[in-house]
Amino acid sequence: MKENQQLDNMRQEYLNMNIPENGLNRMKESIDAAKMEKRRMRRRARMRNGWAAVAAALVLMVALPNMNAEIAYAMERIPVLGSFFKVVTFRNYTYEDDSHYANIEVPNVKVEHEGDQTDSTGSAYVEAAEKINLDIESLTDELIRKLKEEVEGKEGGHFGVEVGSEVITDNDRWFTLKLKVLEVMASGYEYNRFYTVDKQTGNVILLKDLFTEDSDYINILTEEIKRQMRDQMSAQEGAVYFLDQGMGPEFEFTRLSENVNFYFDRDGQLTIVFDEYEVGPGTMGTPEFTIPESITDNIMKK
Amino acid sequence: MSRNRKEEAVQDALIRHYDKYYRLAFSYVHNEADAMDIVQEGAYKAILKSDSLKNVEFADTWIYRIMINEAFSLLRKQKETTDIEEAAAVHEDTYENIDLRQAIAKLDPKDRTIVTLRFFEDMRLDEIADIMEENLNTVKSRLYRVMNKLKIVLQD
Repeated sequence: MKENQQLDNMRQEYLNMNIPENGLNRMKESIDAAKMEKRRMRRRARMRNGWAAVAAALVLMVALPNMNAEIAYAMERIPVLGSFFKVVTFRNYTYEDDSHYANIEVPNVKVEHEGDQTDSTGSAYVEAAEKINLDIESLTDELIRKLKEEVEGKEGGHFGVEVGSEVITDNDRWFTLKLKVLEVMASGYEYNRFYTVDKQTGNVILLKDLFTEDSDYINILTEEIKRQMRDQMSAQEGAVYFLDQGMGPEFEFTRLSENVNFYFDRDGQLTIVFDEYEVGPGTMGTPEFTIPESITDNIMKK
Repeated sequence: MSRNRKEEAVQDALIRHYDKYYRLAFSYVHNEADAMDIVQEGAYKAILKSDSLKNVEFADTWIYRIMINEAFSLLRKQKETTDIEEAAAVHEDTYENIDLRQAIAKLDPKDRTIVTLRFFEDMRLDEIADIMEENLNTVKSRLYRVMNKLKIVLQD
């Protein structure tokens, strides 16, 4: 890839910049001074240690007075025989101060059994639910940890996080839970996680599980998505995707990732969902592409 | 992980990569004295809190972060004593007719950091995001906006 000539010249100038001779020595002196100061601080700390532990615990308790955890249950029964999924709001974390906020609804997938409780699909359902819940828990724990760091930190930054969820598909064949995350620093960044269970087997499925072993599904889907992107860009005013942009590899969609989000829509059609800034600028939000059955018919597992 | 090993790793990286840190510092302040100060202060802080380095493999990234924060800190202090006119000279229009060099010099510090690390030090966006402790997509969005604004085109 040949880069912009001006940029290249600037880069050469940058790399050939004059480095003052005594700079390195001055830095070495700083390093030595820091080492001495550190030893001094350690000596002082050893004397103070008893108090430090208590003080730290108090700071933690006082700094986050508004963190509260509520456990709320939504009880909805769907009268169907066999095992089925039910999603409840397990926890709702809220926090607010002058420059931080959080509204994190943590969903929890539960399995209800009717009839024979020991069939294999039933236990597969339970495993699937556990997998999903674990993943959701680790994501939301990480977000809460991030929030705590921001709140306790000395930087004056702003940070906000919202997490919501929605069951977007629940039919004879598929169950899909969508987890929606919005992180706000200087600007917002939205991303999703889709968890899909194949009810025939009770397993959480990944995109590759849908297709036959020898199929070139990644390329086939990639080409279809690119086609739709080009169509949109020529037909719609303001539609922009990272395709044919000439802005370098970070802004050029070349190949679908195996871990891309997907779900099956109302009509049972495979729909690929991208996070914000994955394949287009922020103005495009989280773009979705529905893949016509004609494209996937002969490569999908039955 | 021994404390001394971390301190050694940090010291080692500081000395080995001095030139890189100096160049980056210079890109913010454009004079040798300030650039040397930034690196000196940064090195002092890096050694002082070397215990908090989690993984010696990432000492370079960790140090970059400290150097950048030091540079930002100095810029903030300098801004407080700069002409109000100068500070207000931030335009949103495209820079087609202005030298690319000037345009880059006018970028806000975070944008300038991304441009410098991406185009002059050839870093990947995920490395840059790591150093700046931001989401990859936040860095991506900044870079996109800057490249658009400056009409930077990379030929294939």
